[in-house]
Amino acid sequence: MAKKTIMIVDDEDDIRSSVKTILERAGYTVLQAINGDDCLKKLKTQKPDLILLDIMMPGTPVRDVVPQIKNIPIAYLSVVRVSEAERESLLGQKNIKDFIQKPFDIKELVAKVKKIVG
Amino acid sequence: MDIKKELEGQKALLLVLPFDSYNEIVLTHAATLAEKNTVCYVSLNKTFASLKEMFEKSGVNTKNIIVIDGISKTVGTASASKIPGCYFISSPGALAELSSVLNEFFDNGFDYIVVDSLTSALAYQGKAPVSTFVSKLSRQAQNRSTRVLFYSISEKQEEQMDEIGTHADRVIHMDSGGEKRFILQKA
Repeated sequence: MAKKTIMIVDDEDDIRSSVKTILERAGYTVLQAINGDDCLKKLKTQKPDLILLDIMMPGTPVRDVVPQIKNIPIAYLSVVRVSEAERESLLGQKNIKDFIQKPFDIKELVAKVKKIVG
Repeated sequence: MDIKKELEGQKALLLVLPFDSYNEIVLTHAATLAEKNTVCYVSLNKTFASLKEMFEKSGVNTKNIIVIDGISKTVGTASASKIPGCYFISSPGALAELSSVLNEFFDNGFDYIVVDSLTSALAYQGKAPVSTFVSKLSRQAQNRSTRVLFYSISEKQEEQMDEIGTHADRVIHMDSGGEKRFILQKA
């Protein structure tokens, strides 16, 4: 069976590289993008099974990036704190599947990714 | 560390906090500062709704706090209608817009302006605009009774933050227990 592909979108090199290492060890192929604009550009030629999307990044704000991503599940991976009600509201949007709070637990991250993409 | 006492001697202070105890320390400080004084709290990484929940859990006197929320519009959770006690700005990197809103709080004689955090601003802006922002607020504070408290996270862009901190009166690096590790004092 083909490996599932995850795209990590984060402006911080250390976060991208640590998530890449964690998910590759868990058997996934990992793509990287440095912000929302880079993500949208790469999606023209690549179609990951899941996008892990930071919120606080330079460039186009995520509120404008998310609607441009069609048919690919997204999980926010961010240091930003939202209320429970806001979290529920975000998760109610059609392709938002999870909100993973930084700092994240490695096992929890892998489990959440697995739950979404298998 | 007694944050009120620390701010008595400094008009503009930058506290560099460890990530693991960051929120715990800033909430403790907010509770202390807002107990009897007015606070304008600039939140660049917690939405107003989330901050309100955190303040309530931590026993912060929210009657004395006005929040400037710089993240909800970025996330897409900002309320379309006006919320008492909260101003929304467009993004954590909108420092000119933030400075403009903060002018009102200086003019209205707020006791403390708290900026949580410069690390979030630095995710959007380069060192120069963040330095300019810190410098401007620090200068504004010199002629007024308002004290400015900036926060940043120690594991991120520490070298840049120490340079930015030269525009404040003092930079204090703190440990996880909320005590001082070392101090950089403006010459």
